[in-house]
Amino acid sequence: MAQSSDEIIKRELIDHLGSATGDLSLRVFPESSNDDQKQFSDGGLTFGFNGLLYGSCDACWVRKKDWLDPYNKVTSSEEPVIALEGTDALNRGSSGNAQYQRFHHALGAVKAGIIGVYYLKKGADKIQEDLYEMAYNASQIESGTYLIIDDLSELKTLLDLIDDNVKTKAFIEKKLSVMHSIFQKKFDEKYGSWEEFAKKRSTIIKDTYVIKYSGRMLRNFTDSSQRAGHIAVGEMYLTKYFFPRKHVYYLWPKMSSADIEYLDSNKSVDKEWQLLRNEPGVEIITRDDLVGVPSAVITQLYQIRDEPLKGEVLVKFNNCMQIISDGLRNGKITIKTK
Amino acid sequence: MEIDSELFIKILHVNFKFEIVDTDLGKGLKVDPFTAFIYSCVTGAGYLDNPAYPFTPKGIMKVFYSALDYRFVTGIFDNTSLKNTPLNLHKAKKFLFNSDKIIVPVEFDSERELQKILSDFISKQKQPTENFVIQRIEKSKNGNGMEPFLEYLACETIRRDNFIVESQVPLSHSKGSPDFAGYRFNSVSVPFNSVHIFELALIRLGLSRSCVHTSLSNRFIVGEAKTSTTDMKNQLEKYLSTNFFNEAYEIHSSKISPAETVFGLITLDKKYRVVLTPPREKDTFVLPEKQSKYRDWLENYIKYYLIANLTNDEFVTFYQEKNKRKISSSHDVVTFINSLSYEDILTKITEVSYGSV
Repeated sequence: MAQSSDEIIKRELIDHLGSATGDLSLRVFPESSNDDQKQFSDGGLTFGFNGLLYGSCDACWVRKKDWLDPYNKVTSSEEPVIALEGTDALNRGSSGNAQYQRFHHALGAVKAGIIGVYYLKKGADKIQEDLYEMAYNASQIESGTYLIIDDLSELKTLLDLIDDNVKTKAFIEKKLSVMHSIFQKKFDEKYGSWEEFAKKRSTIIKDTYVIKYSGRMLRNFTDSSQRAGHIAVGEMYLTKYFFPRKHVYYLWPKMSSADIEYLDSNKSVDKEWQLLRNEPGVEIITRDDLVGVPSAVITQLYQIRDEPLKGEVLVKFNNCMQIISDGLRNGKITIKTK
Repeated sequence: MEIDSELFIKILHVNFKFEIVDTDLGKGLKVDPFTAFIYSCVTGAGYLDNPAYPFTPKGIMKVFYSALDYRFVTGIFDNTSLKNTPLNLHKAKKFLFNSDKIIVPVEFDSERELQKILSDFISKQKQPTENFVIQRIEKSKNGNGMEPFLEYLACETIRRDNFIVESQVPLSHSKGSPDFAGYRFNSVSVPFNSVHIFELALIRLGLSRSCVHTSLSNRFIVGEAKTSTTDMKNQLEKYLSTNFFNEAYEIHSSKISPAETVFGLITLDKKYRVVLTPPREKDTFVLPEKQSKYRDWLENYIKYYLIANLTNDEFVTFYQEKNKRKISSSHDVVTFINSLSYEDILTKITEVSYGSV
């Protein structure tokens, strides 16, 4: 097997930044190791918050200092300072939503109150501008800071400044501002307004909540080859951090409440499913959670529930969703209160 | 039989006569730098240049995604440029070939424990520690994580029977990547044998292995190594279903007999010697037409490792000499290299190494 994306990134970190900087040492494990899956306070590279674990990071700069892990309230003898998730995706044809799928890996560190970095090594493809805004907004509402970088020299600068709180804060503020500007420029070109965004991105925007809808089906989550868990998690976080102060309903109209219950029972240790079901401010809803949907639409959705979205099935789904989204916008269809 | 530090030392000493030496990390085995490089390439054992992520060339010198295909992975080539060649690695990491090395097994239960062991060791050494190659023995895993070590044993055993050997073999996305393969050619058509395939890229750095003259017909074998289970049947059947291979081998440290009569077995006896038992039924799956296509691809594949003896500038010049224009795509690179004979490439290597022939 050729070197994996993770191996390429880790080797690059060591070659460019070394295994120690000042009083910081690098916690990084080889590809063959499973220790990255362990919680940070257990010697691993996985962060969490209030009992919810996020994806594992590739590396973390740590210093010898006691640190209370907010995931499990255990005190670790090492304090994490900067956690990094890296990918070579831009060199491997990942030009679209594949980039979002790893967003939650460093997010755990951000929620734990430290600096999380998502490093996308420069390549033939560009970083999706959405990522910058997701990280920018995560930095506004979470206790840590989320940075998106494609150049390790930025990380080197941050590491060199890290002991100077004033300079570090200035660096971060400037970086976040640049990230937001990159997104805003692209957003203005592509959409111009959030109304236009909503129309093009299967989203309904209300005052206090948003509804993001997609054609997920049960098999997407039971067939591991489909990787739908990764895609759904990426979409969820995009919606959550585009609207950081609104409640998010993630609507899967092809699925039923029974499907969700089945997945809850059978994926209790699946990290991504747990994120989908337990992320604060996000609620998965199905056709069973809607009031006022015409019975013909319900019947149609039931009939195509296990069919991939293509050809005639896609046409039917889109027709159903036009009715549902119009109804949700004008109030004729509502979400059941729980 | 779980391979721990003690067994590891015995196996390598018995089979390859490596000298046992004492170190502050425990017993180790002294080897020449090329043997150490080959060992690290196959097993992933790392040169102790830092305690966090010791350097290993494993996985960085691959060429193609799959068999019968000429799409590059990032490895020897990065798009149209020679990148991770031994020559370039040597320039970046002088310690690789400058002196003998000591392969040291280190047992551990957690990564943090290992990193502490290595940090403490490094801090006590007066000399740089890159001459130590660390074989990880992961006690927390079934089989101690020693499958790559079994791949090394298989490669070294088969190599001696005039095969070009390879671990982590490019085959196909659907069939998977075999742990091991051996390719034996008639030496008239392919003048190389008894080497790991990437050794062909070490000619410029001074490695030489003689090619044993053989008029034997082509023979291709494939193998799968396991430590945590004895079940390799499904995977071997997948590889055999390509119809490329004459023989398939299970590789396991303590299995007594293979699962099927069409499988051979590479294992260890009670005196730690590697034992090879050929399949009782051979050539059951090979189809001449399919194997012939695989052979043609392999004959080209070998050329890419030979070309890796050139610097990128030398390669670009070589291309331009022959084609009278610049490289514009990886397709150009592939077409060019596939068109060359072994003699063309070896002559070029000699020319750039010693001046015009």
